[in-house]
Amino acid sequence: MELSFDLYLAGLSYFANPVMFLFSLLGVFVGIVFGALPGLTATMTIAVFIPFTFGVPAVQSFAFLLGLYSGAVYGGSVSAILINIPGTPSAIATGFDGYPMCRQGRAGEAIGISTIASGLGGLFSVVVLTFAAPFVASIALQFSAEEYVGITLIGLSIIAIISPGSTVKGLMAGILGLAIGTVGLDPIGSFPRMVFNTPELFDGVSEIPVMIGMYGLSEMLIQISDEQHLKIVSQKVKNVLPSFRTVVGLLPSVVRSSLVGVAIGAVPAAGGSIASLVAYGQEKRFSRKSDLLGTGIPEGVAAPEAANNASTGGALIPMMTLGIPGDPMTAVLMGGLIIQGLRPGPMLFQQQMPFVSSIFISLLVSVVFMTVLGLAGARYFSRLISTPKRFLIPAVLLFCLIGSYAINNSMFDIGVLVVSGIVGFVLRKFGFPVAPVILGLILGPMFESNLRRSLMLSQGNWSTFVIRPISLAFLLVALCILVGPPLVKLVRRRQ
Amino acid sequence: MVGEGYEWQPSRPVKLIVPWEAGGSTDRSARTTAGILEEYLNQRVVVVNQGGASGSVGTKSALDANDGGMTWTAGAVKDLGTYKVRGLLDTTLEEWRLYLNVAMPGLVSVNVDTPYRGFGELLHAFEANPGGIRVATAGVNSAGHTSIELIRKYAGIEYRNVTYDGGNAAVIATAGGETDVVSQLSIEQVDMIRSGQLRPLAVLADKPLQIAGVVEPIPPVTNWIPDFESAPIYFGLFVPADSPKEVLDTLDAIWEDHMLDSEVLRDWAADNAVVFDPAYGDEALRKAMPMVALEAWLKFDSGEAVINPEEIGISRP
Repeated sequence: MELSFDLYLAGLSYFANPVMFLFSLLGVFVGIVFGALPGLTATMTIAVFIPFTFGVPAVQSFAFLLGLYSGAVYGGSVSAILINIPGTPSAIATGFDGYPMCRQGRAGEAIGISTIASGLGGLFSVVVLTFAAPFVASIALQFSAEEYVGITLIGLSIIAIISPGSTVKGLMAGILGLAIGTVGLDPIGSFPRMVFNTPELFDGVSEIPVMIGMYGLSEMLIQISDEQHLKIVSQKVKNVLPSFRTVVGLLPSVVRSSLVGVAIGAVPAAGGSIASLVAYGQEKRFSRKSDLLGTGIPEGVAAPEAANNASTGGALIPMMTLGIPGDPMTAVLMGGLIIQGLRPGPMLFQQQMPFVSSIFISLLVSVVFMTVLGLAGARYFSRLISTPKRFLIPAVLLFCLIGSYAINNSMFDIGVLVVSGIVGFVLRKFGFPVAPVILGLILGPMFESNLRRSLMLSQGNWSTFVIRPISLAFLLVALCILVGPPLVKLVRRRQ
Repeated sequence: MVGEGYEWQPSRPVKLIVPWEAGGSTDRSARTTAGILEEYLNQRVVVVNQGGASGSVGTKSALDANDGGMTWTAGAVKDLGTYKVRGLLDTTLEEWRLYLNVAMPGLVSVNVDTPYRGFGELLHAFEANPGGIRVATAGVNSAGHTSIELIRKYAGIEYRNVTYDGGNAAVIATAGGETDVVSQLSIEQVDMIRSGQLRPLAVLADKPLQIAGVVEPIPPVTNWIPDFESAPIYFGLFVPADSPKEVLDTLDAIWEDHMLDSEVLRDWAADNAVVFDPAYGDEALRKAMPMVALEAWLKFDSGEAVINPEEIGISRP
């Protein structure tokens, strides 16, 4: 594929319309608010809002959604710093040093550093996305069904290692997702599977209500069932804007973590939460102040925050170029693309380059808005954490209901929402993660139809997967992911 | 165009349920037609996408609305006419009045890097290498599959079937070289033909197909298989037949006065490589029936039908 600068400029014309900036700003604002509210995760925020973008042109809807994405990933740090509860899973590591800083009365400083680091990480990821995505897409254009089998297999095996807590529980949740993905007419022979004579199930279980249920509804049910009330130490958020010298001092950490963030984000199915944990771990190894980590030092806040925002652009790479989500959030974003009639994949770069380029620009704009809003509004966003549940929960439930219905004007989807909400609630109560369910649901059908298509192309000859070099390489990577960690453990034990 | 004096002037917006997702071929043709109608009804026609179960979910909503002709649906007549045979929805064509806009023919195209210059050459290649040439379709329920099966029947060829998730994916796979031939609808292939990645060889019709922006008209399949009975897939709006008479009379009149020679629709058809062929009422039924019969009996023969098409008056073609 020919790359010329004109292609990037093609998307710029959309921004002659101020509405684009308005949508982006609105997205960032809503994203920070939802991200900062404990319990409202970034994934849930995007899932709940996607149906509302349906009637809006694709470029504008993505200006909004990418704003939400950046805003929510960043917003999670506010509650992590102030009450040591990550507003969204990707802010887990932010609390390690952010909360100690807060207890030392340096909450404002921590939020400021988190904002700047998030902004820099986000900026870095936009640059990588902009240059890497068209390149990856041009390679992916050569991929046939066999290669997609390999990539989806990599994504599915990553479920095993990303699941927080028990790997076995993660795998079980992944299998549940795979099972849900088989419902409907099978993709090759149109044979009905688990449809129970219900025409609404012929096209399979609609993914977005499942996502809203698993992330939104189940979270609200958890909040209702948890009796705990947060004890909030009132904190004055001041000195938000860090000094130039502080920022320069943090640059090594930010650069290291941004690299980690983009790279991990770009791996199918691994996302911001892993990126931030790995970045924090990396600081422990490489930072000059590594012994002080955990006591409340700026590096400990900057590293995970740069990494999780850097993962946003990274995660968009496989989603846009291959149609394979980089993390649960991009899985949901992919749903937003599909309802706009746009199929993510290498062809998107051939046919919809102005749109693709508008995505790059939207992400950039959202990073800028995020930084500005974050610095200017830290004081106000920090008050959100004391929002009473009795307002929060009904409001989110209402969003879940409207959103699930609006996608297809279907009452059946409300049923799907309620069932998956309850299933998600039960799973989480028993310590099962829900992200693997969603990844299984999305990757499973992709894996199946590509596997069967490969075999149609090769007339049933399985060797087609190992004869093709790229396919073989992907299969080996998947194998390493599956057997690598246990093998390493075994070797260590021997020593 | 105000006050042309049609008998029926809806006092509130009409609801047009498109039973497929937004952006698809049904949706786009329905929205274009709705836009033309708005001008003459002096009222908005609100398009609501309600997909699911091969269009039967949205069609059922329109059927159940029962609000005096204020809710319509849209789609391919071959689907509407076979829901009952396929056990998806208890409705027959008698319950609807058809207002057709365009016909979408099947098109056989090959990847530009394949050596096949004409449809005759491709047929020879099929004969020389039975089961060796890869044909992309969107699965057994797709128009593309019906097309290639018809060619198989008439020409006695064997091909290697490769199924994709939707017509666009099948077209892209052929343009990318994963498969050699694609037999999906012309509207799904038009972009790839214009960009020179697919070479169209024959349209499954008895007249050539002219695509805006492409110099050479695409020859009809009957040039090579003279007795090929093509059955184009007709699309249109469907209005409950028990709607008030003034509603149906007004729509009949709009079709007669404006739709039959609508420049807007004609241009849209040429842009999208479909055949401009509006019709209404009995004429519409006559045009669309061959494909309905073909579809119904294909389903019956493959064991996917729950009733014999004869039971609802569809005789074997």
